[in-house]
Amino acid sequence: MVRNIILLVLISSTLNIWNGPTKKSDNQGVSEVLTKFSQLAFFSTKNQQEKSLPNVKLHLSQNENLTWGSFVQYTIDVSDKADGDSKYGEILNNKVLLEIEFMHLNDKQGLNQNRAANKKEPNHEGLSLMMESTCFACHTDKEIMTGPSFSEIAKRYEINKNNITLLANHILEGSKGQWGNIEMPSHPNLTVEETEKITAFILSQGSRKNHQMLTGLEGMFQIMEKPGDLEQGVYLLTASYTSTSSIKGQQSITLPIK
Amino acid sequence: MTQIKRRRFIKNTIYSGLSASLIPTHLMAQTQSGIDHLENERHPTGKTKKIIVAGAGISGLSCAYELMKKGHEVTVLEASGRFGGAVLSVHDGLADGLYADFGAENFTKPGYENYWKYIEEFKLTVLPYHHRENRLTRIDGVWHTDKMEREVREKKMELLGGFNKYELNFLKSNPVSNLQLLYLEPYFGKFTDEYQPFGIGYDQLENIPVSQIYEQAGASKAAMSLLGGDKTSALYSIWQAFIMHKRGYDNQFKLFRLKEGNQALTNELGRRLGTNLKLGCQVLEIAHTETGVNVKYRELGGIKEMSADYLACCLRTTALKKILITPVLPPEKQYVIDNLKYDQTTRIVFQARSKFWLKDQLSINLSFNHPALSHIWQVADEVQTDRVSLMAKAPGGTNPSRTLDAFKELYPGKKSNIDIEQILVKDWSKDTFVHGCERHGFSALGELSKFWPHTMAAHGRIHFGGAHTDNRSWGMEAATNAANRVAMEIDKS
Ligand code: HEC
Repeated sequence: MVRNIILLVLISSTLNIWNGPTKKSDNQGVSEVLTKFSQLAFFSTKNQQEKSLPNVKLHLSQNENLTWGSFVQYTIDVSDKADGDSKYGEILNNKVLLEIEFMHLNDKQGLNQNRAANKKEPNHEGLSLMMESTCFACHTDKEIMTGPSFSEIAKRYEINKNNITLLANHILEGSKGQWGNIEMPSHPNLTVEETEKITAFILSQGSRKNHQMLTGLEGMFQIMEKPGDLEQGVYLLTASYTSTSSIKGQQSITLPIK
Repeated sequence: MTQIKRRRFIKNTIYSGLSASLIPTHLMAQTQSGIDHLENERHPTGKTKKIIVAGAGISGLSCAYELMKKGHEVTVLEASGRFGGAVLSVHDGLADGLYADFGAENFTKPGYENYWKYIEEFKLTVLPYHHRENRLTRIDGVWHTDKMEREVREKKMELLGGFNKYELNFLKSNPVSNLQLLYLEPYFGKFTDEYQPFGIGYDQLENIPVSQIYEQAGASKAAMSLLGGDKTSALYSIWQAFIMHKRGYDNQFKLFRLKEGNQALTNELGRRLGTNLKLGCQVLEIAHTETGVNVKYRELGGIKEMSADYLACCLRTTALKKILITPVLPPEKQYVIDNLKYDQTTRIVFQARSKFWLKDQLSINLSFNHPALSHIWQVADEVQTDRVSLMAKAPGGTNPSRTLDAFKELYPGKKSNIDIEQILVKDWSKDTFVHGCERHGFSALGELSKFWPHTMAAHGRIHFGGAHTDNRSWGMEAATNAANRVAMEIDKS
């Protein structure tokens, strides 16, 4: 959505219409509604159920002669027959993902295998649930925002049943004082099962050292500082978008680092 | 117009129609009267410099205004389609001339010195703000008046053995909310600069909790429990208490707001900047050398460049995270950009048909301590109408319909009296450009030196403003202080 703007919710039967029957996320009543609502108005002439593969294109500020420790800016262009075009502000930021994976360059085979795996890897349900909800407004995978990063969370809690139950509960009920005095809101629209899936995803993703996920149509990331023994390495970048009809389009780029 | 351009135009008007229409209507009403003659106010202190100001929040606006008054050539680049940032007053959608401040809500006296300067200069109308008076607070499910709360606290203190003689003596002439001063004031003498807590002999206090200071000075158990601080660094507490003391916040301070909304002030600043303020220009890259800066930005879908002698960077760190800076900033600065946090709040406004709480003989300044509703109070109470607007506060990401439900469920009067007819909402955690509210403090043990003074430090030709760069976090005070500091730094260099 282009801008997040005040909108008006009438407390009357209209609210139910706006809420719609589909989303189970935390902000169901409001912001998403605006987007859905305006998109609906906007595409009323189109067949919204048209299934098509979203076209995803990843652009980098620099893709040659990259050195260790440098910053790379990216933008992702998305166009989808039904959902619209990012150029026109019709693509939701939180449905767009950039995955950044570091691999040793010498390991050519590894790279190919990994690419194959990446293609085959099913969407992680915990991740999709988070992308439908508000989590990425306050959390990222490896960077600090309002809330702790996934890697900080994974460092504190190892993956086991107790921790999954504990954190799933904190997500549901909200939390304060575990990390500082900023409060995390409760998420009463999620179920225990869903928050457990989310927690499992956060803990496994957070512990992947050479793999980072970023949401949004644009942003910046830093190439790691040179690992001790290594002269060259390669980053595999995959941008993806999951359309409202649940079809994922993606593009990958490899980025050699010297 | 090509097909593409037309589509963009339509779409933007639909989206921004909601926001844009909120602002100009009342801005225009006020701005038709002539602009004061800036020429007369200009008093150049030296060579004219060319300066780019990044960000048109209240800090960027006031920084640009100060620099312009000093005779410099200023261009402000703002990514979003409106200026004012976290200062956002909304009239549209509310009936009968009611309005509400969805962002920065109040200012104080004493304090806010740089902010008051603008109030006087622009002749803005100030109204007292009573939203923290006669408050009812829900604690463990029970509603308490301020008096009851005080009694509960006193009882607790008594159970802990009460205050000691020294403390009781202090409390004869001081409110209990100032008790920490009894133990911290002895440290104030060494400060020479409110922006520099280091190098005055207290550096080691960054790593000990302030509770230890109280304990070592012989504080009673009751005082220790009241003051807390076992996770707060002593240096941070002493420094912040010193600044509060210096600004006169020890004594009772009063709260105010601007008539027609606090945006009246940023509107005036923006109007004075005229076309030097460019909206819809998102900064993408900053290149800097010993002699100047070059900024790449996006405007109307294209990439443009602009050079200047200095950059006054009044952007939040959330925006800075996405900007490529060459050569890179020093690691201390990068740490700040990577680690600074902002509070996240959702502001929810209820419009009701009447002051329904009066039927229940209640105050509407209520603290709910509920996950979807922390406080509620009345805003724009001077507007002549039976209708009322109520401001509710909740953590970022809260669904406003749940806030209403919480209100209905917990309202201490008769539920059938509630006559709320609509809700407006602004969730800052979802704002693309103003992501979040005030910055978070640096109070944890060993944390201050990681952030301070790097947060405010200039780097070559880039000077850093914005509320987050000031020594205290109160939004509009911090923003205008930082702006004036940066304007001075650039003017003098
Ligand atoms: C408005 C900001 C915000 C939103 C939205 C948000 N969080 Fe949080 N989250 C926080 C903060 C702040 C903390 C630290 C809370 C604390 O100190 O106890 C946190 C903590 C956590 C933790 C660690 C809890 C613990 O006990 O250590 C997890 C897991 C988490 N969040 C997951 C989520 C998920 C999943 C979502 C979306 C469904 C989400 N968060 C949405 C701000 C947010």
